[in-house]
Amino acid sequence: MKYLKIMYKMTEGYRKHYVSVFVMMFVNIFLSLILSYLNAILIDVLNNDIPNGHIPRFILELLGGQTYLRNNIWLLAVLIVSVGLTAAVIAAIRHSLRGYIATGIGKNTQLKLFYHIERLPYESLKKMQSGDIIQTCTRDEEVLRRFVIFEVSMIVYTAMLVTVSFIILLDISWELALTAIGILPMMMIYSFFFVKRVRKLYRIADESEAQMTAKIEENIRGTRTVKAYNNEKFEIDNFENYLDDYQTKALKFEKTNSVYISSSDVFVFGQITLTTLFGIYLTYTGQISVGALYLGITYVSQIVWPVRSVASILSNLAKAVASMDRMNLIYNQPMEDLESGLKPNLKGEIDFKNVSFKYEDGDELILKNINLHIGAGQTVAIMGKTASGKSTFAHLLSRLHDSNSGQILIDGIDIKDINRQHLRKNVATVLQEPFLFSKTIISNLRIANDKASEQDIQKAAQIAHIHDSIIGFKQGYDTPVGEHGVTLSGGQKQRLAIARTIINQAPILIFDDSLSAVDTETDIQIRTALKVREKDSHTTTLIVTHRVATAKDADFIIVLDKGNIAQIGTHEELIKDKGLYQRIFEIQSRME
Amino acid sequence: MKDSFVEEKLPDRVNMSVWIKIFPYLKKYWLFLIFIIASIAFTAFYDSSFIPLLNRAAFSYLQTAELPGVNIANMVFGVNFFGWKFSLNFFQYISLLLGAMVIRAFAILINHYFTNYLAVKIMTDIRRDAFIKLQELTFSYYDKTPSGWLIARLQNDTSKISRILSWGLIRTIWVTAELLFTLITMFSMSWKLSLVILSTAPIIIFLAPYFETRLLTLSRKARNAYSRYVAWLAECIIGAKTIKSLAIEDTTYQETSNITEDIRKKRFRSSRMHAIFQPAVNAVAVITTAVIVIFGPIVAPKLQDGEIEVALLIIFIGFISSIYNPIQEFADIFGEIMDTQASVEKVMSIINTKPEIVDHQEVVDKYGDFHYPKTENYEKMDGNIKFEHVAFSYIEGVEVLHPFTLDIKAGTSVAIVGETGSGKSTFVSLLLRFYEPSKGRILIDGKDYRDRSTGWLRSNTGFVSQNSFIFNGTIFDNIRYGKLDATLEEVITASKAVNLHQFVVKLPDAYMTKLSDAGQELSVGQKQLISFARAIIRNPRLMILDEATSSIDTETEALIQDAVNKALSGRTSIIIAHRLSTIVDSDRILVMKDGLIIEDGSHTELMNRNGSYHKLYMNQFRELQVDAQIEQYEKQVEKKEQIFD
Repeated sequence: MKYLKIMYKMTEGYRKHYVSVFVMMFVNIFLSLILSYLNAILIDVLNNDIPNGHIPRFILELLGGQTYLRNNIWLLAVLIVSVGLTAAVIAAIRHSLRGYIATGIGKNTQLKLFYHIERLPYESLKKMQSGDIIQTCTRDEEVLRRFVIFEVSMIVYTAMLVTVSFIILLDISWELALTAIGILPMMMIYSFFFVKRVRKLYRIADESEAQMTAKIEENIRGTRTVKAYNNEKFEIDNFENYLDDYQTKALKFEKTNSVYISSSDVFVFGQITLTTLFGIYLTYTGQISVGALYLGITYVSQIVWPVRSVASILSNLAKAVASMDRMNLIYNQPMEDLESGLKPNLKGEIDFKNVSFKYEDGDELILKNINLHIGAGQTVAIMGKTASGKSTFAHLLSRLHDSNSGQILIDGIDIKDINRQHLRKNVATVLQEPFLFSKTIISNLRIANDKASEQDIQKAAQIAHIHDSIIGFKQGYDTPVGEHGVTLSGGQKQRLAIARTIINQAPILIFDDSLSAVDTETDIQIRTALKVREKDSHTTTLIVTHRVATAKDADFIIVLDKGNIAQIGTHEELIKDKGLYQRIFEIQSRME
Repeated sequence: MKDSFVEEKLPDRVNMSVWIKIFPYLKKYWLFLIFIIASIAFTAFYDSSFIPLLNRAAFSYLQTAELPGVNIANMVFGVNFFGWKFSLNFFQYISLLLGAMVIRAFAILINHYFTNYLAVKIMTDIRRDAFIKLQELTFSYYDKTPSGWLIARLQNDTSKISRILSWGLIRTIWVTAELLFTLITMFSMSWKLSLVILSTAPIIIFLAPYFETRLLTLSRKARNAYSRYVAWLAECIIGAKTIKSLAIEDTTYQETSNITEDIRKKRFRSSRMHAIFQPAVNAVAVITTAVIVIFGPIVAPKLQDGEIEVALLIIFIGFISSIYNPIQEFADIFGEIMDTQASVEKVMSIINTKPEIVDHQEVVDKYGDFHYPKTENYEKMDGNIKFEHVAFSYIEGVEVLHPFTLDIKAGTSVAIVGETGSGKSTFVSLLLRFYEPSKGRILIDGKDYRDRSTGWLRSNTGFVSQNSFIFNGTIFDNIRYGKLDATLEEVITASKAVNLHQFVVKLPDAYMTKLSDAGQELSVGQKQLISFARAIIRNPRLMILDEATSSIDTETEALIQDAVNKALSGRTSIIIAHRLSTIVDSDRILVMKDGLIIEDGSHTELMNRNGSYHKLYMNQFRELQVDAQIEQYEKQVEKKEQIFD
């Protein structure tokens, strides 16, 4: 049931179209059966036979009776053409409409998944494999789309075709009708189970092929190692094992599959042959007309193939179910609320009240009972050893993580009451690992604020000390970066990320160890340029750093140790206080 | 750079010279082909001649006989088998139908299995050849060819080619046979009616290829749009933290919406083309049916009593699709051939590439090649290395290593430092003979290394690179990769030597722990320790570490440093290091810049010189985390106090 619900939800926005496709499908089936019917009538008319059944007699009367038709064969020809052309036009419309639905549903599902993934909390996203997410968004989406559109409609199509053909044949002769579908149930059962077995073998062969291709990939990526260890021969011999394994498994699958195809062909052609032979008998004994015999053979030939396909679709339902399960894995994770909450104007006064944090699956507290006041416009440096909680501290402010206990207030407002997007726009963070999109430099800079003018962007780039490098590129600001563009150094990337963040003049600015990738002089210049821009309205600035030269200009410095504030004070105070800061100050001043 | 996402355009014609190259792969399966052709011939005969002929016989009888009959045994069907006339009673008729049906099933079995057999065999043949070629090719090839491109060729193109060489070919034969049998049967029944059917065939012959190529182009466009979506999706997942920090979810959503709309439009265009195609063919078929209905009774041969043979008309209506379907199929196969041509070209270009570095004949005679190495002739290596006026350029005229001469005594450790692009890696590539010097020569133990085989050189060399490469398999397999016949004891000894053992024994399966996905379950440091064990187990005379400690976190560094020291002791070693803290104890440090060695000396000497090395060291120190700074300071500065005083 829950699967039906998912499929029903997928068709959202296209349900009317979906229903009309089925209506047209019914009309199509009906018309194509009529077309064969007209041929049958033609036969009987030419043969001077009386057609069996109420329907043909009715049609015959409608067309002016046997003798009239015999003298005016063109009437049948005209009918055949008009029915056939109508059917063709409807089929074209139906298939186009089906394509319209399929592509539309595809787009909707892609967007819906994207929307959901983008709103997953950072912590849940970190736990998932990006490969799995991409698989769900691509392969599973495709499996489901094909199922909802093509396979479901194939099932409905076959059901309609069989039913209508059976009713028409029943009208002519119940013996013929029963014979025409006699073997089908057996074929369904046979195919259903055989296909299951075939698929199992297919999966085994497919897995083996995946391993072989993985081996190829491994060999190519590891060429340096292979060659340096002169193991080329070993690799070739080893690859032969993979080839062997694949061959054995693939041929086993092919063999079973060929047996399935040819043996189910016996059912298919057996059904046709049986109908032909029994039809001949019925005709010979005068129970049906030659036209009816023709009709029987034609209908059976139309039915058998789709029935066989439906059997294999049904035996492969598990695939669609598995895809739905994987999709639910994403949908069932709660999203972050980006819409509700307060959107106050913030000045940048920060208070931590008894704030603690630990990861959902961790046992240790990363931050322990932090109490802190930072005045609006102050600059604070945060220092500490690896894993002392520096980055977490920064992430809590922008709610990339949420504190487990305690309260974080900005201008006296609990940040959990503030709209998340609004908060993050106001608490601008430059992350430790700069990430740039595979776009041009200008699009990367503009992505944070699409209303930013050319001047705004260049100004930000100048402050971040990257403007000169950018205009040094041949295409300037239009230079693409990333996979298909120029390769930037770590420092250049970081400065671009800084420029991108400071385009918006947020009241709170956090550098999460992101000034470390630029050299000391540039670091100072960036910070001075920022101060100049701010003029009177001072930005509250938090700098996670390991550089005394950076920290010493701060209004005060926090030294974190194992989640606690170990030391707090100005540079002058801390260098007199025996501790980490004093030690690192000594070392760094000696090394300068 | 070839881009794996962007597909090139369809070729505008079939290039036979491309296809001829691939035919040898088919030739060795000629016996299978004969069986396949025989089975196809029977199947086509059954569908296009046998059934229509027998149906006609039955229909004609039923039309002319006095009905209703009483005894079914009295039925006599006159068959006209291409002029050979004979009669069948009902039981013979039944037996013939059933018998032929069973034979057809057998024919399908043979045809289907053998064709797939060909597909599997040809694919493995091509993959094997390409794989072997890749082992023979040298670095100049790998450096020019992105690995993603190579992987795509071996994975996708080979299966595409094998499909066209099996199913593509077999379908062509099948369709041809079907068309032939239909034509023969048709004309033997009534040439006039046959001409009526053929009169509309040109429309299909014109329509089908047009639609097929349009479809192919449209679906390629749709596929490209889709690749863009997949790439963008991956980017957004990797950059999720940035997207959240910048609060640009709405912007990225808008872009996704544009991309998916682009896919939708392109897919719809392609599916619309598809939707029109089949009904268009059906429409032509229906018109032809009408023509037969009108003209059939006039042109069809009459029965003896002057009646129209209705059976013939019906059979001919059936022939319409037997003529149209093959034409459509031909167009389809043609499209597939066009679609595969580029794949054939690319795969064959790999297989036909000649490796650039090969040992000359005398060397091969003495030391063997990699397929059959003559290890009994390998001399022992001492490890004295001499570079004599060695220079190197990847591209002619652009020298990346300028002529230099260098003498390295056996058993010393030499570190090479310098910025990216200074020539460090090229130095190592030359030493490993991934490349050969453009000028000058490299002597090992006094003899030009080109006078011995690459096998000799590399079997005496241990190599650890920056990205430790983990193969699919157990930890045991991975260490043993350095010495293929090593016993478990040897593996354990090597592993102990690099501080790996204590970690491995804690795992439930110890050395038999399976590592998959390039060792995702291990930390970078642990993977690197495995690489060290792999290098050490060879007991090499020459150890080369190419940025082996660059990507290791500071926590594992101490462990690694100890492993490095053990790995180097008593061996000639060349260490390229990005992180200078790891090489301060080397006997000799070379500083490279722009293809030249600009400083040469020990750590203390170079620090005192206050030159490039000093500057590099200080810059790096500043970037360390505070705990690393304290540690390094205590170990490397306070202990070597003399540097600063």
